[in-house]
Amino acid sequence: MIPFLIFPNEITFLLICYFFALLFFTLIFVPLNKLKPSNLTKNLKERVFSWWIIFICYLIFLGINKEISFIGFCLCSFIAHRELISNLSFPIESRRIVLWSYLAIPVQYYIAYTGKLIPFLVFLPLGMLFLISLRNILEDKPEFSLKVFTELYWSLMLTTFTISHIPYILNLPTSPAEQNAPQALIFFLIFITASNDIFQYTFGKLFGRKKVFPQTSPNKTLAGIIGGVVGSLALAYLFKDIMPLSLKQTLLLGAIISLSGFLGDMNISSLKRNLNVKDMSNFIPGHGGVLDRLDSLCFSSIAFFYTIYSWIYA
Amino acid sequence: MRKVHAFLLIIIHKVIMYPFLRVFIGMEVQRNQSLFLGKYIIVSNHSSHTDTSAILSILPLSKIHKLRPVAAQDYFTKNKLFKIFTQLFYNAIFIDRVTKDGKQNSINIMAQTIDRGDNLLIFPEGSRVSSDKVGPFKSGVIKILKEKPEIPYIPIYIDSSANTLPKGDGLLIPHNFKVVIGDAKFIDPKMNDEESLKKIRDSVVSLASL
Repeated sequence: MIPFLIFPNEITFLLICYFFALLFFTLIFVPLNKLKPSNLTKNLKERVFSWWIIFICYLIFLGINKEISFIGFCLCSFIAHRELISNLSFPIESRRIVLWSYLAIPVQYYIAYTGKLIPFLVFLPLGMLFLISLRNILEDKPEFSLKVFTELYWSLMLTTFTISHIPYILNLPTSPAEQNAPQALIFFLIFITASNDIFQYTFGKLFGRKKVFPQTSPNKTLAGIIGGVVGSLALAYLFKDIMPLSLKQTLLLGAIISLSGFLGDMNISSLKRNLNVKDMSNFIPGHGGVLDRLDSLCFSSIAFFYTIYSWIYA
Repeated sequence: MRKVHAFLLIIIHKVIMYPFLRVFIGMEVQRNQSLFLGKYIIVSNHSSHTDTSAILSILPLSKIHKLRPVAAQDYFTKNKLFKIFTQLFYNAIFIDRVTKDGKQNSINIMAQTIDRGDNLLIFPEGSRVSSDKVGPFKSGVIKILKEKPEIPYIPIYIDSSANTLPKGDGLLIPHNFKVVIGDAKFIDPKMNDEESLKKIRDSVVSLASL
């Protein structure tokens, strides 16, 4: 339906709906921010803007071909890993070990691209456990061992291992009747994770009183979390026709994405409080870094992937 | 010939280097309209070879071929190939920072470059600095600014570019770094050299907190 893009028809329909919804909100909030500038309208405008980025990235990463999907997500992981590493201030002596961690990212995505499940699952958790230690020994600078082991390894797990599960969904075997299933699953994952943030924000602003974790993130309220789950359930119900699962399973997935997305968000928030930074970087000027946008997806992708894997393939 | 060179510089720095630095290495820029002014001397701190590329790549299109980075003769002309490389790709002018006669001559070379209508990029620390702090400034920058008091200087602060390509290491690795561009300023010809130099250095250092 859309020229040059390869989305199945039912997803194209939903994407067009999203496009008009975004256009609608842009036409409301951008003039509103001009007429009556306040913190709230500025925040809303920024959220609409980051939604455009998510939307356009989604079209490019998933609408052209499989190779572009893997390269696109690889680039996201790479930038997120770089943001984290830059904030953790590694000593200059260990820069060659850091280089190895960068090199592991394309390798992981290449393995994901070939679609072999065991190497895909083993390379980062075990392969890099071995390789980071090896490079550290070759460097012969034992005073930085613990920092290198823990921080590089954790950063790779958080930014690369998790995100690489999203394009890997394209490699899951499907029966001819369910050719469009991988595309539908990724659509479901990304759009519910991103919408969940909006639901949490809106419900939190409207009804939020009781703060859940005030030290980690002062904006998260109980009403926000419940609103996020309810909103995600509603969206999952709307998307039920494109999913290769039963209605009960689809709804459960919506709730799982909502809660794990919240956890991922809080995870990065607590890290940012600890490092005393507002955003991980300024990659998108005025809108923070890539990791600030991917925070929920880091955890929701894992929860989503293993849930559907256990239902469909186990 | 000059036009061909200008075109080459624009291709290298705007089309190749800017996306490379921005997406791959992780450069962040705090922009300022001051770079659109007619004539200026850029004064920046220096901790890595990345700095020159970073500054050239963030200039407006019409200014790229006009900026002449001031490079040390003893370092950059050691090797003939290296010299041609810096001249061709970075449009550098070479000054002698060692001998006494050479230092006086350097001021003349810089003044002539400005008279030709070009802008200068000066790293007043004299060399790449290994620590994260801005080092002491050398007095050459004051001499050229006093010679041309009608030309403003633009302070630029570059944060943690040493992590991408530190001194004494040839390996380039990605690491976020920040380029902050300040407002154009003029020096006060009545002030003595020491005070002016301190003022210039402070204008660079004060950008670090932005």
